Amino acid sequence: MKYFIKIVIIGLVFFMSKVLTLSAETKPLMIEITQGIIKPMPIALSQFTAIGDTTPQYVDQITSVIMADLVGSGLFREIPRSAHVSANTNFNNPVKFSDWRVINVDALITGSVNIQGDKLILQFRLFDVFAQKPLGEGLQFQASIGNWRRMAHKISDAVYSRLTGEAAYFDSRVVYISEQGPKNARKKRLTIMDYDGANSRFLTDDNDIVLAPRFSPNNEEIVYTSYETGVPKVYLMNVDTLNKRVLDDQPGMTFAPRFSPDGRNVVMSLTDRGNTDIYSVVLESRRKTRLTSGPSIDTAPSFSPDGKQIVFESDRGGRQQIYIMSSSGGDATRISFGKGSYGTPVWSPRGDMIAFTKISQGRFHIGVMRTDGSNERLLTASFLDEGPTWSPNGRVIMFFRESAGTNGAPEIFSVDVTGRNLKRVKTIQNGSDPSWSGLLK
Amino acid sequence: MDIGVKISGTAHAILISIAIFGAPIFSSDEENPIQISEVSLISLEEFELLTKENMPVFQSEPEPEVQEPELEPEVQEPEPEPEVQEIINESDSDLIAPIADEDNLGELTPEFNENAAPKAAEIISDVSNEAPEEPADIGALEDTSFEKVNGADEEKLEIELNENTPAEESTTQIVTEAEEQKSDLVPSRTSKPKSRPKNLKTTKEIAIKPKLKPKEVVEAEKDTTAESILESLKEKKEPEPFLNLTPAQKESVGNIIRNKMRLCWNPPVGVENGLTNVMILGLKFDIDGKLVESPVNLTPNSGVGSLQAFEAARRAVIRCSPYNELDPEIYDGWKELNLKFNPKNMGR
Repeated sequence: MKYFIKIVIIGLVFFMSKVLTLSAETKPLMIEITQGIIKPMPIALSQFTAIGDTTPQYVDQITSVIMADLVGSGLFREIPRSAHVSANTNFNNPVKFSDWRVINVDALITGSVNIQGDKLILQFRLFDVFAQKPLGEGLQFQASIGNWRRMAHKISDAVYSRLTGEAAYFDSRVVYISEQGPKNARKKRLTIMDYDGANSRFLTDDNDIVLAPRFSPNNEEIVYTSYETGVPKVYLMNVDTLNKRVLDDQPGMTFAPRFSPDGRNVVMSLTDRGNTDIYSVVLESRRKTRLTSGPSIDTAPSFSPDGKQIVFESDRGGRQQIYIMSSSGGDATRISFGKGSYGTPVWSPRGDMIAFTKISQGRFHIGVMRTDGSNERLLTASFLDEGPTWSPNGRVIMFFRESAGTNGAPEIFSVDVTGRNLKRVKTIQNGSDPSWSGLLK
Repeated sequence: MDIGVKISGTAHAILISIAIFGAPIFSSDEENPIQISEVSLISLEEFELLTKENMPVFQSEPEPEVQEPELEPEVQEPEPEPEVQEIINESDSDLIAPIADEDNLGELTPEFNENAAPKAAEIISDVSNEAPEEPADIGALEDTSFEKVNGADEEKLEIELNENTPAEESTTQIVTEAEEQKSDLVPSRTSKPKSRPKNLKTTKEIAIKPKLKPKEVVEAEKDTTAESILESLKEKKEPEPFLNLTPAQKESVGNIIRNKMRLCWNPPVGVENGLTNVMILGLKFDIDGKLVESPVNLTPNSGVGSLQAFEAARRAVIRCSPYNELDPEIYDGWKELNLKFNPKNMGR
């Protein structure tokens, strides 16, 4: 009985306490923020510490490459050195965050450059200025001095990854067609360069027309189309040794090649007796398998990252449209249904999107859509935009844009997958048909 | 008046009195375990006398005489162990280590000490310690080594900040070259805020404790049950309730915060999930509107880009501090706020 009374009393007290606290909130007020500003994140690169035989010129070159990478991504904005309050001359000194906060720096990069003979050692750290804490651990890169640009790109990649949460793309290369001369007699050469246009190198001379180079997954080989024999044929070339061989020496024109994700196969178009279909070639055995059939022109195949599907363009429906089929061939499903024609589809390395060229109402566009054709978005618009290629992280698309008129010439551009940050890529000559490598090892 | 009403009224009055003032009924039947003894005041001298007689005296052992050697042997400091540098394979996706636990963001200190001697950061060891020898020909970068630099000492968080203004080339929408572009991005998930982790823990404990027991032990454990209810009441009292703001006051607080965030929040919209990651941050303020601790991430889920989204929101909150526009008279209504950062409408 006594226990019963206790329980009753406690219950009463509980009830009363509830009644008394009805007028107070038990949770903090929730406020929804839906508006902010969209702007590149302000970052600063402090003066890197020079160690050993390092000259200030070297430091400047390296830091310039890092900042060009980051700012060029469109996601970051440099707070120039002239605005810096703190010189931070020694890499090992603690960062005085108040000096960086006062100039509105969100992220700060500090580092050192150490040259010892032929060896270059780069160190860096990244800081969140407002949280006053390092973002990740510092990293050190070491290589021969001749690779200083790649090492700078590696730092940019690390910073980009940490600040965006995504894989980066700066330490990568692009193979493309250099073009020179008038439109009716243009010289074309296979060319390779860093993603930012540096370290350009010709892979072929200008005697033969070359087209549409594509990197292998290991970034060591390319496939491309050449008119070396007078008939367009797909060739395989090692980009270091420049050794090359024709992929299929059977009669017929072969073009529009692309590697499978495992690098063992190449898909390409083959025109035989006026009919163009897609074939798969096993590189080791050179065994060729026909994947499409019919009187239509089926071309521009591109594998999905898992290698199970192929996206390609076909005029089987009357106009050029985009289709998807199994990598072993068979029935194809049309995924493009907008007004106009679609071509040159390329599957994103992330697997979630397909980039394409669209011709609509007399204008060319580079666009993206989901793999089921939904959510089509056009990113560019001009007289002639064509040939998209994805960055290794699937966030940027490179393509070429040709200007109108008799003096019109192609140039390589890049655009963010959101449609922002459209810009020209520097090339030593006019350029077309870019193909972006994966991230270098 | 009806006698029943009188009895009932008296009984209720007694019950309420007992509830408010306590009663012997709550006292334990057991003997009070605390022993009470009376003491009287004594002087210091008396105390010393007492303690001298009774207390053991601790004497240090006589130190052995130390004869100083004529020549001190050189003490060789042990050589510092070479720091182990972790060589990271390039293909390792985890080049950048995750940041520290967000809940443990360091202590708050008022200011950075400019005169403090620079700490020798435990950074890069001597180059000679680096493991791989370079091959003679380093044409390619395959031999490039990637090493983690030991992290510098984490600086303590400083909260007092200067007012900031947004950068000049800022926008609130993404506009692409192709005018046909449509924004089709929608949040991938709802982020119903939960209460602070502390509250969550409390709630869990309350939910777990009153478990049903087998019948035979219920009688023996009734006191325990009562105690658990009292404990739960006590626990619920720990977080002080917030002032129930009027709708107008809520609106005012919300507008002040939203207006400040409009200038300070720069969500990472250019990256994956940048427009869909909804983040909830828990903030605590002092009466001057300054943050009293680093913002807490209350977002229940995490995915690609969520860390960056949280960091952007945290920067915004710190950048906009202090929030001295908030009315101190209703401080109990905003001493803690949860901010839900939802960028879905910023993509266009």
